[in-house]
Amino acid sequence: MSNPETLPPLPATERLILELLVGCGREMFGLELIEASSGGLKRGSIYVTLQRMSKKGLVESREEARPAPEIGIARRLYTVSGFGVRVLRAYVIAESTFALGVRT
Amino acid sequence: MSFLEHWAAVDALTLVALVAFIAFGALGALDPDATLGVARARARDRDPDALARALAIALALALGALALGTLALVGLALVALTRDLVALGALVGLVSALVALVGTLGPVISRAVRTASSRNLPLPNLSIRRPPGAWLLRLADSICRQSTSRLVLEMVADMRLEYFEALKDGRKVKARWIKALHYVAMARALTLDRLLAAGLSYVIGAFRTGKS
Repeated sequence: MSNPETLPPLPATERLILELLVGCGREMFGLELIEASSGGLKRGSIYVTLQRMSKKGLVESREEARPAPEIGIARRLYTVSGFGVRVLRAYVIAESTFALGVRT
Repeated sequence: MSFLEHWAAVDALTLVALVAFIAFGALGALDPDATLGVARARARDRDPDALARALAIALALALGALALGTLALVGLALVALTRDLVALGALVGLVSALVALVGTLGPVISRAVRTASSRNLPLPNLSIRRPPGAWLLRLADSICRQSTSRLVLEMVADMRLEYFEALKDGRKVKARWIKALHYVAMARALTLDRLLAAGLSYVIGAFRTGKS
């Protein structure tokens, strides 16, 4: 996990995932994120990205609980962590401040 | 009166009954396929005792036909001894032949009816096979690190969800396409991304070691 005192780098894909999770306000799994991104996220990269974000502490995940008669592999649900929300906010603020600076 | 003379006196009806008994009784006793056919049909309906029940029914029918046939032969023997019992012998022979006929044809008719009705059932055009990604999961479990194994598990779970949703809608081609897409994505994730990440971390590690 990244040091919570420093601002970690936030690539575009990771930022998009954070925005989607914050915007949706609930847990989502990989396919849902791909669908919600409307082309912004690809199948080939999202799972690796999510795992990397999980290591960095930007998202949290858990296995979906399945009702008794259902069998098969449980999906992994992702939600944004408190640290992830802070990082996203920091980037939004930094971006808007930078944009204001450009205008003046 | 000799035996041959008595035999000649047996009327045609009794002879027909005897031939019918031998034909149908023997068929019922020696060829239980008709009854077994019903058993197989029942076994398809997941009835575990169907075969045993059908065999018991077949045996009972064969024994019944045999008993009545024996009775008919006794009747014929009596006919041979005295012409007064010709009518009785013919009657017994006819009844036994009818029972043998019904006992033999019963399962055949039953099977025919069952087959005809099963043809009207909407049989699903599906076969149970391994779900997509099964071999990949096994491979990942055995040779990959835990993080990679978890990655594969997650990708396969999502692939199966999308694949089975497409199958549920009856869109086989779409399901195959989805499977192919996911396999390509997995290949990319497991080779390019993972190898690239491993190579980069190796280079950075080597660089740091050399620097210190």
